[in-house]
Amino acid sequence: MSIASDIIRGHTDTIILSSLREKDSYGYEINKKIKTASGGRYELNEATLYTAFKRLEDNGCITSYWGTEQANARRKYYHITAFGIDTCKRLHTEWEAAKKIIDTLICTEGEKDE
Amino acid sequence: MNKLLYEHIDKLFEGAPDTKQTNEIKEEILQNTLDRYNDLISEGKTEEEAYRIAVAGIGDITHLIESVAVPDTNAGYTREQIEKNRKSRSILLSVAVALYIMCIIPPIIFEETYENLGVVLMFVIAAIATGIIIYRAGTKLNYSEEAYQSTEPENCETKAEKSVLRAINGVICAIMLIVYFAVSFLTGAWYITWVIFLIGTAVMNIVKAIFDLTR
Repeated sequence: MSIASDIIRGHTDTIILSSLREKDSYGYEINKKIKTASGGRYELNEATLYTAFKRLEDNGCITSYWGTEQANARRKYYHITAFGIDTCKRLHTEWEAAKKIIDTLICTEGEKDE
Repeated sequence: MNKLLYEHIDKLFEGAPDTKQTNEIKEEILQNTLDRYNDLISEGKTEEEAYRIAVAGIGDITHLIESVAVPDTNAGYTREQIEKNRKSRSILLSVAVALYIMCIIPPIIFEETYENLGVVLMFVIAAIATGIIIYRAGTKLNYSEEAYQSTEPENCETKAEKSVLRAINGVICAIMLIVYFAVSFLTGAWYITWVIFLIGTAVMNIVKAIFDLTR
Protein backbone atom coordinates (compact mmCIF):
# COMPACT_ATOMS: atom_id res chain seq x y z
CA MET A 1 0.00 0.00 0.00
CA SER A 2 2.56 2.57 1.08
CA ILE A 3 5.03 1.48 -1.61
CA ALA A 4 2.37 1.82 -4.28
CA SER A 5 1.24 5.26 -3.13
CA ASP A 6 4.86 6.40 -2.89
CA ILE A 7 5.47 5.25 -6.45
CA ILE A 8 2.32 6.96 -7.66
CA ARG A 9 3.28 10.18 -5.90
CA GLY A 10 6.76 9.98 -7.41
CA HIS A 11 5.21 9.90 -10.86
CA THR A 12 2.65 12.65 -10.42
CA ASP A 13 4.11 14.63 -13.32
CA THR A 14 4.00 11.67 -15.71
CA ILE A 15 0.46 10.80 -14.68
CA ILE A 16 -0.78 14.36 -15.14
CA LEU A 17 0.96 14.76 -18.50
CA SER A 18 -0.33 11.42 -19.79
CA SER A 19 -3.84 12.37 -18.76
CA LEU A 20 -3.58 15.75 -20.48
CA ARG A 21 -2.35 14.11 -23.68
CA GLU A 22 -5.85 12.68 -24.09
CA LYS A 23 -7.64 15.96 -23.51
CA ASP A 24 -7.53 19.23 -21.57
CA SER A 25 -8.64 18.65 -18.04
CA TYR A 26 -8.90 20.13 -14.55
CA GLY A 27 -7.58 19.02 -11.18
CA TYR A 28 -10.49 17.05 -9.82
CA GLU A 29 -11.11 15.25 -13.11
CA ILE A 30 -7.51 14.05 -13.26
CA ASN A 31 -7.66 12.97 -9.65
CA LYS A 32 -10.90 11.10 -10.25
CA LYS A 33 -9.27 9.28 -13.14
CA ILE A 34 -6.47 8.13 -10.85
CA LYS A 35 -9.02 7.02 -8.31
CA THR A 36 -11.07 5.07 -10.86
CA ALA A 37 -8.02 3.48 -12.47
CA SER A 38 -6.73 2.33 -9.09
CA GLY A 39 -10.09 0.91 -8.09
CA GLY A 40 -10.66 3.64 -5.53
CA ARG A 41 -7.47 2.92 -3.62
CA TYR A 42 -5.33 5.89 -4.54
CA GLU A 43 -5.90 9.56 -4.84
CA LEU A 44 -3.57 12.52 -4.87
CA ASN A 45 -4.31 15.25 -2.40
CA GLU A 46 -4.88 18.78 -3.63
CA ALA A 47 -1.53 19.97 -2.33
CA THR A 48 0.45 17.37 -4.30
CA LEU A 49 -1.68 17.95 -7.38
CA TYR A 50 -1.31 21.73 -7.40
CA THR A 51 2.36 21.71 -6.58
CA ALA A 52 2.76 19.51 -9.66
CA PHE A 53 0.57 21.78 -11.81
CA LYS A 54 2.57 24.78 -10.78
CA ARG A 55 5.89 23.05 -11.44
CA LEU A 56 4.75 21.83 -14.87
CA GLU A 57 3.40 25.25 -15.78
CA ASP A 58 6.62 26.96 -14.65
CA ASN A 59 8.79 24.76 -16.83
CA GLY A 60 6.52 25.10 -19.83
CA CYS A 61 5.02 21.60 -20.02
CA ILE A 62 1.45 22.80 -19.58
CA THR A 63 -0.59 25.97 -19.89
CA SER A 64 -3.81 26.84 -18.10
CA TYR A 65 -7.03 28.69 -18.82
CA TRP A 66 -10.27 29.26 -16.98
CA GLY A 67 -13.19 27.22 -18.31
CA THR A 68 -16.53 28.81 -19.08
CA GLU A 69 -18.94 25.90 -18.66
CA GLN A 70 -21.04 27.05 -15.70
CA ALA A 71 -21.47 30.38 -14.01
CA ASN A 72 -21.23 28.93 -10.51
CA ALA A 73 -18.35 26.56 -11.13
CA ARG A 74 -15.27 28.19 -12.59
CA ARG A 75 -12.69 25.54 -13.34
CA LYS A 76 -9.09 25.96 -14.31
CA TYR A 77 -8.24 23.74 -17.24
CA TYR A 78 -4.79 22.57 -18.15
CA HIS A 79 -3.46 22.04 -21.63
CA ILE A 80 -0.31 20.14 -22.58
CA THR A 81 2.28 21.92 -24.74
CA ALA A 82 4.50 20.36 -27.40
CA PHE A 83 7.32 20.48 -24.89
CA GLY A 84 5.05 18.77 -22.38
CA ILE A 85 4.39 15.94 -24.84
CA ASP A 86 8.14 15.47 -25.33
CA THR A 87 8.67 15.49 -21.58
CA CYS A 88 5.88 12.97 -21.13
CA LYS A 89 7.46 10.61 -23.68
CA ARG A 90 10.83 10.96 -22.01
CA LEU A 91 9.39 10.30 -18.54
CA HIS A 92 7.58 7.28 -19.92
CA THR A 93 10.80 5.85 -21.37
CA GLU A 94 12.55 6.49 -18.07
CA TRP A 95 9.79 4.70 -16.19
CA GLU A 96 9.99 1.70 -18.53
CA ALA A 97 13.73 1.51 -17.96
CA ALA A 98 13.35 1.82 -14.20
CA LYS A 99 10.62 -0.81 -14.18
CA LYS A 100 12.85 -3.26 -16.03
CA ILE A 101 15.74 -2.70 -13.61
CA ILE A 102 13.53 -3.05 -10.54
CA ASP A 103 11.89 -6.17 -11.98
CA THR A 104 15.30 -7.74 -12.53
CA LEU A 105 16.52 -6.79 -9.08
CA ILE A 106 13.44 -7.99 -7.26
CA CYS A 107 12.68 -11.12 -9.33
CA THR A 108 16.18 -12.64 -9.36
CA GLU A 109 16.23 -12.57 -5.57
CA GLY A 110 12.93 -14.45 -5.40
CA GLU A 111 13.75 -16.93 -8.15
CA LYS A 112 17.04 -17.93 -6.60
CA ASP A 113 15.16 -19.49 -3.69
CA GLU A 114 12.96 -21.63 -5.87
CA MET B 1 -22.11 21.64 5.13
CA ASN B 2 -21.00 23.49 2.00
CA LYS B 3 -20.53 26.55 4.12
CA LEU B 4 -18.17 24.64 6.38
CA LEU B 5 -16.02 23.78 3.36
CA TYR B 6 -15.81 27.45 2.36
CA GLU B 7 -14.87 28.37 5.90
CA HIS B 8 -12.26 25.63 6.08
CA ILE B 9 -10.55 26.77 2.88
CA ASP B 10 -10.75 30.41 3.93
CA LYS B 11 -8.92 29.41 7.08
CA LEU B 12 -6.25 27.51 5.14
CA PHE B 13 -5.48 30.62 3.10
CA GLU B 14 -5.72 33.00 6.03
CA GLY B 15 -2.03 33.86 6.26
CA ALA B 16 -1.46 33.77 2.49
CA PRO B 17 -0.56 36.99 0.67
CA ASP B 18 -3.52 38.49 -1.17
CA THR B 19 -2.24 38.08 -4.71
CA LYS B 20 -3.89 37.04 -7.96
CA GLN B 21 -1.96 33.78 -7.90
CA THR B 22 -2.97 32.68 -4.41
CA ASN B 23 -6.57 33.69 -5.05
CA GLU B 24 -6.60 31.56 -8.18
CA ILE B 25 -5.19 28.56 -6.37
CA LYS B 26 -7.74 29.07 -3.63
CA GLU B 27 -10.56 29.17 -6.15
CA GLU B 28 -9.22 26.07 -7.86
CA ILE B 29 -8.87 24.09 -4.65
CA LEU B 30 -12.28 25.24 -3.46
CA GLN B 31 -13.95 24.14 -6.69
CA ASN B 32 -12.24 20.75 -6.64
CA THR B 33 -13.11 20.17 -3.01
CA LEU B 34 -16.73 21.05 -3.74
CA ASP B 35 -16.72 18.66 -6.70
CA ARG B 36 -15.31 15.94 -4.53
CA TYR B 37 -17.81 16.67 -1.77
CA ASN B 38 -20.74 16.53 -4.19
CA ASP B 39 -19.47 13.28 -5.67
CA LEU B 40 -19.18 11.74 -2.21
CA ILE B 41 -22.72 12.82 -1.37
CA SER B 42 -24.02 11.26 -4.60
CA GLU B 43 -22.13 8.07 -3.73
CA GLY B 44 -24.33 7.92 -0.66
CA LYS B 45 -21.96 9.27 2.00
CA THR B 46 -23.41 11.31 4.82
CA GLU B 47 -22.68 15.03 4.90
CA GLU B 48 -20.27 14.62 7.82
CA GLU B 49 -18.37 11.82 6.13
CA ALA B 50 -18.21 13.69 2.84
CA TYR B 51 -16.94 16.82 4.58
CA ARG B 52 -14.30 14.86 6.46
CA ILE B 53 -13.04 13.05 3.35
CA ALA B 54 -13.09 16.17 1.20
CA VAL B 55 -11.14 18.18 3.78
CA ALA B 56 -8.64 15.34 4.29
CA GLY B 57 -8.09 15.28 0.52
CA ILE B 58 -6.72 18.81 0.50
CA GLY B 59 -3.53 17.90 2.34
CA ASP B 60 -0.83 20.26 3.52
CA ILE B 61 -0.89 23.32 1.29
CA THR B 62 1.54 25.50 3.26
CA HIS B 63 4.39 24.67 0.86
CA LEU B 64 2.19 25.43 -2.10
CA ILE B 65 1.30 28.84 -0.70
CA GLU B 66 4.93 29.54 0.14
CA SER B 67 6.08 28.57 -3.33
CA VAL B 68 3.76 31.06 -4.99
CA ALA B 69 4.45 33.70 -2.37
CA VAL B 70 8.22 33.77 -2.96
CA PRO B 71 8.33 35.10 -6.55
CA ASP B 72 6.01 37.83 -5.39
CA THR B 73 8.75 39.45 -3.35
CA ASN B 74 10.26 40.40 -6.71
CA ALA B 75 6.84 41.78 -7.65
CA GLY B 76 6.98 40.02 -11.00
CA TYR B 77 10.22 41.57 -12.18
CA THR B 78 12.70 39.39 -13.96
CA ARG B 79 16.26 39.11 -12.75
CA GLU B 80 17.50 41.08 -15.77
CA GLN B 81 15.13 43.93 -15.08
CA ILE B 82 16.24 44.12 -11.47
CA GLU B 83 19.90 43.91 -12.42
CA LYS B 84 19.47 46.65 -15.04
CA ASN B 85 17.57 48.82 -12.61
CA ARG B 86 20.22 48.42 -9.96
CA LYS B 87 22.99 49.27 -12.43
CA SER B 88 21.35 52.42 -13.71
CA ARG B 89 20.59 53.50 -10.16
CA SER B 90 24.19 53.13 -9.07
CA ILE B 91 25.35 55.10 -12.11
CA LEU B 92 22.93 57.90 -11.27
CA LEU B 93 24.19 58.03 -7.71
CA SER B 94 27.82 58.09 -8.84
CA VAL B 95 27.15 60.92 -11.28
CA ALA B 96 25.27 62.91 -8.65
CA VAL B 97 28.06 62.54 -6.09
CA ALA B 98 30.65 63.47 -8.71
CA LEU B 99 28.64 66.60 -9.58
CA TYR B 100 28.37 67.60 -5.92
CA ILE B 101 32.10 67.36 -5.54
CA MET B 102 32.86 69.19 -8.76
CA CYS B 103 30.41 72.03 -8.12
CA ILE B 104 33.12 73.74 -6.09
CA ILE B 105 35.36 74.02 -9.14
CA PRO B 106 33.68 76.98 -10.95
CA PRO B 107 33.93 79.37 -7.97
CA ILE B 108 37.60 78.49 -7.73
CA ILE B 109 38.26 78.94 -11.43
CA PHE B 110 36.35 82.22 -11.65
CA GLU B 111 37.48 83.52 -8.28
CA GLU B 112 39.56 86.33 -9.76
CA THR B 113 37.54 87.05 -12.88
CA TYR B 114 33.77 86.45 -12.70
CA GLU B 115 33.07 85.65 -9.09
CA ASN B 116 29.30 85.71 -9.49
CA LEU B 117 29.36 83.39 -12.47
CA GLY B 118 31.34 80.87 -10.43
CA VAL B 119 28.77 80.85 -7.65
CA VAL B 120 25.88 80.62 -10.09
CA LEU B 121 27.53 77.65 -11.82
CA MET B 122 28.11 76.00 -8.46
CA PHE B 123 24.42 76.17 -7.62
CA VAL B 124 23.41 75.03 -11.09
CA ILE B 125 25.61 71.94 -10.79
CA ALA B 126 24.33 71.25 -7.28
CA ALA B 127 20.76 71.59 -8.53
CA ILE B 128 21.41 69.10 -11.33
CA ALA B 129 22.93 66.66 -8.82
CA THR B 130 19.94 67.02 -6.50
CA GLY B 131 17.59 66.53 -9.43
CA ILE B 132 19.39 63.31 -10.34
CA ILE B 133 19.06 62.01 -6.78
CA ILE B 134 15.35 62.80 -6.67
CA TYR B 135 14.83 61.14 -10.07
CA ARG B 136 16.79 58.12 -8.83
CA ALA B 137 14.48 57.74 -5.83
CA GLY B 138 11.56 57.43 -8.22
CA THR B 139 13.17 54.72 -10.35
CA LYS B 140 13.40 52.13 -7.59
CA LEU B 141 11.55 48.98 -8.59
CA ASN B 142 9.35 47.62 -5.86
CA TYR B 143 11.09 44.36 -5.07
CA SER B 144 12.47 42.93 -1.88
CA GLU B 145 16.21 43.48 -1.91
CA GLU B 146 16.97 40.62 0.51
CA ALA B 147 14.86 38.02 -1.24
CA TYR B 148 16.54 38.92 -4.49
CA GLN B 149 20.09 38.98 -3.21
CA SER B 150 19.82 35.65 -1.40
CA THR B 151 19.09 33.95 -4.71
CA GLU B 152 21.96 35.60 -6.53
CA PRO B 153 25.37 34.41 -5.44
CA GLU B 154 28.23 36.74 -6.28
CA ASN B 155 30.00 35.37 -9.31
CA CYS B 156 33.71 35.39 -10.04
CA GLU B 157 33.40 38.05 -12.71
CA THR B 158 31.99 40.71 -10.40
CA LYS B 159 34.53 39.75 -7.75
CA ALA B 160 37.36 40.24 -10.23
CA GLU B 161 35.89 43.54 -11.38
CA LYS B 162 35.63 44.71 -7.82
CA SER B 163 39.28 44.00 -7.12
CA VAL B 164 40.27 45.80 -10.33
CA LEU B 165 38.18 48.78 -9.24
CA ARG B 166 39.85 48.75 -5.84
CA ALA B 167 43.26 48.69 -7.46
CA ILE B 168 42.40 51.63 -9.72
CA ASN B 169 41.11 53.60 -6.74
CA GLY B 170 44.30 52.86 -4.87
CA VAL B 171 46.38 54.19 -7.76
CA ILE B 172 44.21 57.32 -8.00
CA CYS B 173 44.65 57.93 -4.26
CA ALA B 174 48.41 57.62 -4.53
CA ILE B 175 48.62 59.91 -7.59
CA MET B 176 46.35 62.39 -5.84
CA LEU B 177 48.69 62.57 -2.87
CA ILE B 178 51.81 62.93 -5.03
CA VAL B 179 50.23 65.62 -7.20
CA TYR B 180 49.00 67.45 -4.10
CA PHE B 181 52.40 67.68 -2.51
CA ALA B 182 54.22 68.33 -5.77
CA VAL B 183 51.90 71.15 -6.84
CA SER B 184 51.76 72.60 -3.33
CA PHE B 185 55.49 72.71 -2.87
CA LEU B 186 56.14 73.99 -6.37
CA THR B 187 53.53 76.72 -6.37
CA GLY B 188 53.25 77.36 -2.65
CA ALA B 189 49.52 77.79 -3.19
CA TRP B 190 48.54 75.67 -0.15
CA TYR B 191 45.30 77.62 0.31
CA ILE B 192 43.82 76.18 -2.85
CA THR B 193 45.63 72.93 -3.70
CA TRP B 194 43.24 70.89 -1.46
CA VAL B 195 40.88 71.04 -4.45
CA ILE B 196 43.01 68.25 -5.92
CA PHE B 197 41.44 65.86 -3.39
CA LEU B 198 37.94 66.81 -4.51
CA ILE B 199 38.87 66.33 -8.15
CA GLY B 200 40.45 62.97 -7.30
CA THR B 201 37.28 61.78 -5.57
CA ALA B 202 35.25 62.89 -8.55
CA VAL B 203 37.54 60.92 -10.84
CA MET B 204 37.07 57.83 -8.67
CA ASN B 205 33.32 58.14 -8.93
CA ILE B 206 33.50 58.57 -12.68
CA VAL B 207 35.67 55.45 -12.94
CA LYS B 208 33.07 53.54 -10.93
CA ALA B 209 30.31 54.82 -13.20
CA ILE B 210 32.24 53.75 -16.31
CA PHE B 211 32.73 50.33 -14.74
CA ASP B 212 29.04 49.94 -14.06
CA LEU B 213 28.24 51.05 -17.59
CA THR B 214 30.54 48.58 -19.30
CA ARG B 215 29.40 45.66 -17.16
